[in-house]
Amino acid sequence: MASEGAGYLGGGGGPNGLSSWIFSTDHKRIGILYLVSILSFFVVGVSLGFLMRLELISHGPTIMEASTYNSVFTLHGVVMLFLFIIPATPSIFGNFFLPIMIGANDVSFPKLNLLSWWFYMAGAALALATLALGPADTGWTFYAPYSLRTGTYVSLAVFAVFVLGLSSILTGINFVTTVHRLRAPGMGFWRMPLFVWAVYATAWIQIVATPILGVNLLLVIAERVFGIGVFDPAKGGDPILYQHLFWIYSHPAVYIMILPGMGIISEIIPVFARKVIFGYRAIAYSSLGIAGVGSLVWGHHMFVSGSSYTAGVIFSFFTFLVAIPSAIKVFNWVGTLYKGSIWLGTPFFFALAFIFLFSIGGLTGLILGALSVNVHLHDTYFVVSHFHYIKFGGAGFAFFAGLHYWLPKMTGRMYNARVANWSCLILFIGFNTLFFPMLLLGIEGMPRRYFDYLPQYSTLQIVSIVGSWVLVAGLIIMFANLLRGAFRGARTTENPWGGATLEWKIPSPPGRENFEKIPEVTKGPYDFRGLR
Amino acid sequence: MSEGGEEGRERTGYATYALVWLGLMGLTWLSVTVAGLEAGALKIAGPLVIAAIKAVFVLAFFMHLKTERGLIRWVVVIGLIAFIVSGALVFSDVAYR
Ligand SMILES: [Cu+2]
Repeated sequence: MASEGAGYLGGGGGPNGLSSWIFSTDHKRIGILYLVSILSFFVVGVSLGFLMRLELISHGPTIMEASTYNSVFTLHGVVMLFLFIIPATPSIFGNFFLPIMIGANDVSFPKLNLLSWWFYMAGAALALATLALGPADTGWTFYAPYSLRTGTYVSLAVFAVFVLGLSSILTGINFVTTVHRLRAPGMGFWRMPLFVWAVYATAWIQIVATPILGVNLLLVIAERVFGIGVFDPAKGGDPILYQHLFWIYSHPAVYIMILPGMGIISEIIPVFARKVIFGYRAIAYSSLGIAGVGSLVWGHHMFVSGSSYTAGVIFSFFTFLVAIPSAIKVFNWVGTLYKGSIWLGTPFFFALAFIFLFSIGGLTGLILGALSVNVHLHDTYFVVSHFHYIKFGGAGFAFFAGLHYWLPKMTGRMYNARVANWSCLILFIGFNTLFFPMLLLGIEGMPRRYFDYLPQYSTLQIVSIVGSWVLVAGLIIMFANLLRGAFRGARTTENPWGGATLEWKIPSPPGRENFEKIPEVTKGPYDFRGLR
Repeated sequence: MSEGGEEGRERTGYATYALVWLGLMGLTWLSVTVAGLEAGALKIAGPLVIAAIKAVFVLAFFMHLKTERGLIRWVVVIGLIAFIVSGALVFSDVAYR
């Protein structure tokens, strides 16, 4: 019996020591490894962000010096992006649920999957080693020529990101192969859950874009160590070329963060509206569309860097274009809600918060994508606010929605729904109090990355800082509730939400083998007939 | 499943790998030499052409595209398109600055 003991979690006489986890090739255990490690680094990232905000509570050095502040925002960016939000949804939920959702017993390359986690941990160790040695002070973007000259441990930080990129590529290769080769009988591409579609599109970006970042980072190291002079203008190099190579990866990386999150939302909305999702194919195609067009917009980060006007016009145009597939998704989610029989469960609240916050993030992105307005808003708090709305309000809230949707399946236990709903509300209020004033500060001209500011910005800065306290309180409540639920919560059933995708047809938690017999798929992923 | 199937696919021997590697080393020497010549534009065009030839060798032998078939061969096209498009967009900046 697959569900004896606690299934894949061990117990019932199965091996459950540390080595049975860190050397496991079971995609579910690897998913849990990622869950634990990624959330640990998230705590580090949140703490750094909290300290950055706190520093600004009064003028002059409050709790740190200017140079420390530079290192803190660099590390906050590196940790939050490369250790948390880029890997979070694909590596945790992708690993755990992609094989189950397509009716497979594991990914195509289980050993490569484990290697990918080890690379992730190695990269994380290197990144955090810089924290002890002397963290880089370049910002997470490592812009040349400053990154070539500063005396801090840039090469080590850059190499850490390189190793993390390797991990990301291996995961991408695994998922693409798995989707092509291991779908259960009857699971055609047009019967795949939209989360699988989203992770599939994401995997392609990981494979195609990440190597360019890798090359770029190696060039920075080569330039620092051997002085080859590709980027250094003093040696005839082109510092804007660095920005090209960096953003060719790093803009699509935004879609590595947000696409799988959109996949989560596309799962939750139909389940809680008890309705077939509106525009299934449009959502699936828009995932591919975002992955494609989103790879052509990187130049919008460089409008004022001295890149050509021609390039500016082209990149501005593509930036407007990529809003179309994103809007298709939003309209289809709202269309699904229309006349649905809505059940207000916790995952649904997080999904609604996602749609609202992502919409603000997307629309402010269009404002920044306009060539002329960008001149005024470039490098201000407006940009900082915009990308936090996308990455935290969007990808982060979608990830939290996923936690509340799938954690009961992963652990077999349910959290306290009332506390979870409250944590969602507190997070939502905290998030907006923290980041909405930043939009206004940016319009008024407050530059990003400064550890001090003029007196006229005080009021909004203080509001934003108080928002960071509310946000952190919300996070503490949410994680305490989820942790308590995971260990002590009431046992949950196979299908607590009445979902129709395959993961809801197996025990919670799943057995060591996902399926005792590979299922035969006969209907689409959002066909709720006969459920609940 | 039309592609796949281990039988009928020739295996590349280690001798071939070694030979290709030697060839790549030779081409590297050639591009260093060409770059050192007083040959104007050839100094840049030459090594680029040689690098392209080397890339074909790596793809064909080390990445097994010579012996692969079907879909796997076509995947290369995705990488090629990505390369051409991103190159063209970078030049939309560099060429008009
Ligand atoms: Cu961008």
